[in-house]
Amino acid sequence: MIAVVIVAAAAIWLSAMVADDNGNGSPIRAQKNSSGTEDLFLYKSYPEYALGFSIEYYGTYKVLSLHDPWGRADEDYTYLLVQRGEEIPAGYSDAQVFFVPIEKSVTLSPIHLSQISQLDESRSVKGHNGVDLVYDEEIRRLAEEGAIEEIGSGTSSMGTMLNTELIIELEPDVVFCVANGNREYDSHYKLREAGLKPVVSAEWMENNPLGRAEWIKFIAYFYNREQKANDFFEGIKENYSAISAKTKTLDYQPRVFSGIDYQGTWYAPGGGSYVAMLFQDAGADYALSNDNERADSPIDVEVVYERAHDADYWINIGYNDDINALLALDPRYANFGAFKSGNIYHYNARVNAFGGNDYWQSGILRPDIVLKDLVSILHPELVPDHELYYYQHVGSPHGGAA
Amino acid sequence: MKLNGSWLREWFGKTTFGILLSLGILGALFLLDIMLGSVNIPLDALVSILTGGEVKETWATIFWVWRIPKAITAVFAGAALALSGLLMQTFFRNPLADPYILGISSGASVGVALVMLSSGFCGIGAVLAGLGLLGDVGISFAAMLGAFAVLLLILLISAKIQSNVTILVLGIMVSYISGAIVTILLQFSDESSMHTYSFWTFGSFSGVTWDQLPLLLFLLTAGFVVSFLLTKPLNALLLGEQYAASMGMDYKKVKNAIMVNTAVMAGVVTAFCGPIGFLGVAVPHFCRSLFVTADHRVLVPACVIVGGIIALATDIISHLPGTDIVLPLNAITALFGAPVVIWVIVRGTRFGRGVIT
Amino acid sequence: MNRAAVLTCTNLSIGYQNQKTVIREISKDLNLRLNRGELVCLVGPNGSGKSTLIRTLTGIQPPLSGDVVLLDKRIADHSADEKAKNLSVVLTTPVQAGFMTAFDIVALGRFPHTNWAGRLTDDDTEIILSAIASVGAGDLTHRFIHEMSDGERQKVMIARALAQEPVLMVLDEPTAFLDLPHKIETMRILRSIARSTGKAVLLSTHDLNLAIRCADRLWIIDQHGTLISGIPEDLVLSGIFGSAFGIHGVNFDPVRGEFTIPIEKKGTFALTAQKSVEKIWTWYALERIGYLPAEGEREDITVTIRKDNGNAVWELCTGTVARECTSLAELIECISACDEGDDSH
Repeated sequence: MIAVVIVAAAAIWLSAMVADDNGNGSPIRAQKNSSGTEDLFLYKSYPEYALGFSIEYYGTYKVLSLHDPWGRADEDYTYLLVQRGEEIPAGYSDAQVFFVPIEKSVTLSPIHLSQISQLDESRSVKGHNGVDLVYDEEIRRLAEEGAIEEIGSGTSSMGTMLNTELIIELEPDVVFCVANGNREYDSHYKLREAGLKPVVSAEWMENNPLGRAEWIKFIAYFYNREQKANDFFEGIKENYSAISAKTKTLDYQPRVFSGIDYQGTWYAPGGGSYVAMLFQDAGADYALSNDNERADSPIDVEVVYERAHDADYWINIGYNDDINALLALDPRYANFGAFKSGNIYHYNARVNAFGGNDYWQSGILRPDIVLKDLVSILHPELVPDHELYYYQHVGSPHGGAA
Repeated sequence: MKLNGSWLREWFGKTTFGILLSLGILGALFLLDIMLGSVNIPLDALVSILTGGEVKETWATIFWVWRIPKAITAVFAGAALALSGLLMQTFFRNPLADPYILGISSGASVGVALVMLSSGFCGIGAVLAGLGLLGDVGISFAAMLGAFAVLLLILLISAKIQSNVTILVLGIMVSYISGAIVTILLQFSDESSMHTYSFWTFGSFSGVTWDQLPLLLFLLTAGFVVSFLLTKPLNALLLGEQYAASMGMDYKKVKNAIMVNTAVMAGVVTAFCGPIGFLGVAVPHFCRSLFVTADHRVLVPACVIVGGIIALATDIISHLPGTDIVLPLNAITALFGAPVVIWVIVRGTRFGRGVIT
Repeated sequence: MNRAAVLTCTNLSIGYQNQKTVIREISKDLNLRLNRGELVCLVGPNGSGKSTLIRTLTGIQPPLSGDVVLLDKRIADHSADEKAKNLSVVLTTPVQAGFMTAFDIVALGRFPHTNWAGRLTDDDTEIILSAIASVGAGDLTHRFIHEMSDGERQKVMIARALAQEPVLMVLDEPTAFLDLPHKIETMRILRSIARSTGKAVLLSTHDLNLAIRCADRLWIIDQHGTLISGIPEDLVLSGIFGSAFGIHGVNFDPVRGEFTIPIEKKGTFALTAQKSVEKIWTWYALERIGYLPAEGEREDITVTIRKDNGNAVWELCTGTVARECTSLAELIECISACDEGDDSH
């Protein structure tokens, strides 16, 4: 009897603590997990679709592991995220240590900015490489106010153009980078040498559109913003799944091809790639997927013509802006059926004056919108109220210049 | 590639027979280049296409739109590069000279880089667009401008300074400077432009359309004709500048004619096909050895034909018949050319030194 | 006999000129003639200006002042074609050109005479073959030049110059890289060309001995740029060689017509023998080891040569020794040994 009372009191006491929900990830009171040690992390987040990272929670710290960040598994990265004020645990001599939540960050890729902005942590960003290319309004405003400094050349993605001294001055807790595994061009090697703390993110390695979007959780770990990340991602997942469910039951699958050639060689995304998966989920028949390779293979333009000459839609035209640019590049594109019928679409609807394309920024976070765009092109009857967001129609219906 | 096989030499050594045989091989390879590719068009379909009979529409389109221009381009480009290489090897009396020794392709690459990589930088692309020269045409135009700028520089300097070594060194310096400029431009460019530029450097015969073909053919044919008119002075040059002059050759005129001709042929090919290497170095040696002569009256037509043959062969290989994939052309020409060059160096005293003092 | 002149120069001054300011004048007031049928050799020490003279006479280099007249026109006034029909050259270094037969190379000599395509008529072919025959290279006709020796190559180059059918052939040290037998052969060929075809031939050479014996006329330039012209024998007798080439420790022997190393005299000898080859070479051998013939003084050694069954025997008699030697080597060794013996006393 008395045991019941004690347990009830404990339960009430416990629930009182749990009830404090300011959601900012800073635990008010310590929790105790099943093994009896402290568990400071109220909200946990685990990757469901993303294959490139994994997380382990150990009460006072998290171990974040990157798997094969650029497709050649010669380096693995481990990040040790320790709650501020806690001791650094032993046994992780290889890992880079960060104290979370971080307060100041520098970003080298606009996708990081989109992710951070989504997590309401834009104020933490002190410097970015290529501010002009950022599409996000809020970030641009912050940059104009001087809260975010330009730390690179503005347009180049090569690490050698970074103003390392300026980054050091900003004293960031972390520098978010992207890498290719090329020691000469990757920024993180040099940043590490300079005593900074680079973190490599590899969302571009994911083929699954949801997997790519899920990397917001990767960033969230550093800010203890797991709950926000979870909520956000659940929403995306729901939207995405809802639409792709609709397309699965369709009989008619329009044929689609993508990309452009240069001097006879067409670099087509493989059947297992990000682009191809989006097409598949949008209910399209990707004409160039004869294998499930992820990579872009250099295909003979004649093969592409043979397979895609009667394809219904040409989606994604590389770096060309419109039909005129396409024709100027190679007048022989006019032979393609999709060109003649004018069904050409490209993801350049949201491009700022400096060429920064939101498709590669917020678009990575919103595969549901991208999918909706595609479905709107291919099966408009399924999403009658949707207006194209990232995509636009670049070929006129009569096959001439738009 | 042992050409000690004397039976081979015997056949080709008899010049007329050799030329006719080469023409035959050229024809055969031309046919193969049209038939083979990632999409195979069988012979009977080919005949149908030509006679207007019933044939799969995609095949007909591929044939007319892509295959034929590509095959014709390959023949002429290969011929032009081989001829330019021959001219440069004779003129500089250097067995390792190639068509680009004057810095022609380096100049062209600067032109191309300026258009492809500058975008916001200095807006050369915009200027050309304003002139109505968009996309591919603009790039070819810029490449030719670059090539001729280098030619002008070389002509001006060689008018003042007599020495051939000076011209050689100048060509090398132009290459270095051009490389530096292109590197700087690459530094400031974005990834997709960098990729496009690097694709250009792979070289390709497939980029030429029917509209562009007449200009290409006209300019290159002019180059062939001029080269043929130069056979007598070229033969004299085999003995060296001093002997040639003592035999009554107008060295200055001949020098300028050779350089301009080379620049036109190499510049035009680079402009339309990108910088294609190795054909210019290797084919003249191949011909010299096969036809067993240094007489340009044989070598000029031989290089034209054999240049075309080798170009067609490398094109067929790069399209890897039976697969979907295309390999960069320059990789294949290197695979052919490098062993020939090594062989030339190793045989040195006998065949290679055929053209040096 | 006054042979017809092919090339004349009057008051010629040669040297290097750099943008109108004279930098170096090598020779001046040259008045020279090259006549038909004459072989003229140009000799002189290194750096005396032989090459400059040759270049000026062939019109490659302009003179500082004065005129060079080829046939009836100043050389600068000839068109390249005209000049080529009248003047051909052979340079020092044999040409390396692969896959060219001797015939091909000699055929190039017809350059100024053929049409724009270089087509050879039957006449051309005949001229080529006869040029090859003149130099004795008939068996080389269809062999590749890169498979020939230097001597054979130079022969081909001479044939080429012949095939050009000039009135004047100029050769710039054509025998420099050849061995002695080929040097001699080349001179023989050139002399025969001059005599039989009536061409004027000018060549510069370092081979003084050959030049003295073969040339119809010698031009000697000394270090100061002074040029003396004359027939070889006159020049030898005039003693010009010693002064023109003046190197310390080297003398010109007018008797033998060649440069010799001066003898360090050790003693004198008296040689008794019949006029024979053995007598001459014994004399040379004794000179070489330092013994000159005694003239009006008592000799130090006596050597008598006699024939014994057809073999030569040398009888040596010095103040201390009397010996019979069966070979010159023995004789010389013996004398040298005696010398050392004497010295050690």
